[in-house]
Amino acid sequence: MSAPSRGLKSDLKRVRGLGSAKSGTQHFWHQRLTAFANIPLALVTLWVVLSSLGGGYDAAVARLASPLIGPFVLLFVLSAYYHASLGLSNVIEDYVSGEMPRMVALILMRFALILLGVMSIIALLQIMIAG
Amino acid sequence: MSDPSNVQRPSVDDRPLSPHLMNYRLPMLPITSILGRITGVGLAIGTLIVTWWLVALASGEAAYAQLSAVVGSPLGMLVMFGFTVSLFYHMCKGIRQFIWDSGKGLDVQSAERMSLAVFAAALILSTATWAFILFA
Repeated sequence: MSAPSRGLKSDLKRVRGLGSAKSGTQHFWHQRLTAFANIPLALVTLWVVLSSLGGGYDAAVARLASPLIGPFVLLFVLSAYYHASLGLSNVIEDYVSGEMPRMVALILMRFALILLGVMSIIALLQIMIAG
Repeated sequence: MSDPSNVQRPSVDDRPLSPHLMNYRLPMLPITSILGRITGVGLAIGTLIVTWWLVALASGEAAYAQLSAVVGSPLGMLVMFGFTVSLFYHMCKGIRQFIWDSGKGLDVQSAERMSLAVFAAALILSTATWAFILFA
């Protein structure tokens, strides 16, 4: 290798070392993957809302309980909430200064989204199983 | 030490001013960028509404009626309108980002044209959605 490598690490190790964040391009890549998944999943979920507007409670439950629709809404919750967590991480990292406040904000934000995600999924499973 | 009264000072009027927040208009691309972030934060907060919707449906008719009353109120409708506009804007802006990620459309003219397309698509999709909600 012609380029001088920094320290004792080989170039390969440096690439695999994944940088100071220790996760390499994972954040970027997961953001793009979930963004891509969100397009159809959000549209299906929006359609569930719009198509059950006139029918009230029973229509909405019937839609979500359908094995052809419910799973898409469940995947929407997983993908969208994770995408929200990734995006809010960027925002917090950009605007919250100071190591401690930033870390506290990141942890609270992630806990909040995990809680919302678990609540949503349990609710959805209840709807799907009770039908 | 030189006498400070001898120093030539530029008058206040011809002093060069750096762009200031109050009189600097962001170009279109930065506007689309920050709007993407603002709508993203809005949508992230919107997960509260999605969660409420699912939990209300799982909890029974009374909880769902409560949600419907809040969302159906004028303020609730305004929030939901913001939610849909944010969703479509963020989605269209994301599609533009995918095109950029592929290495295409990075010159100024294409980027600005795509930005206009993002605004137009978000406007059309939001209008269509709310036309359906209000009139269908």
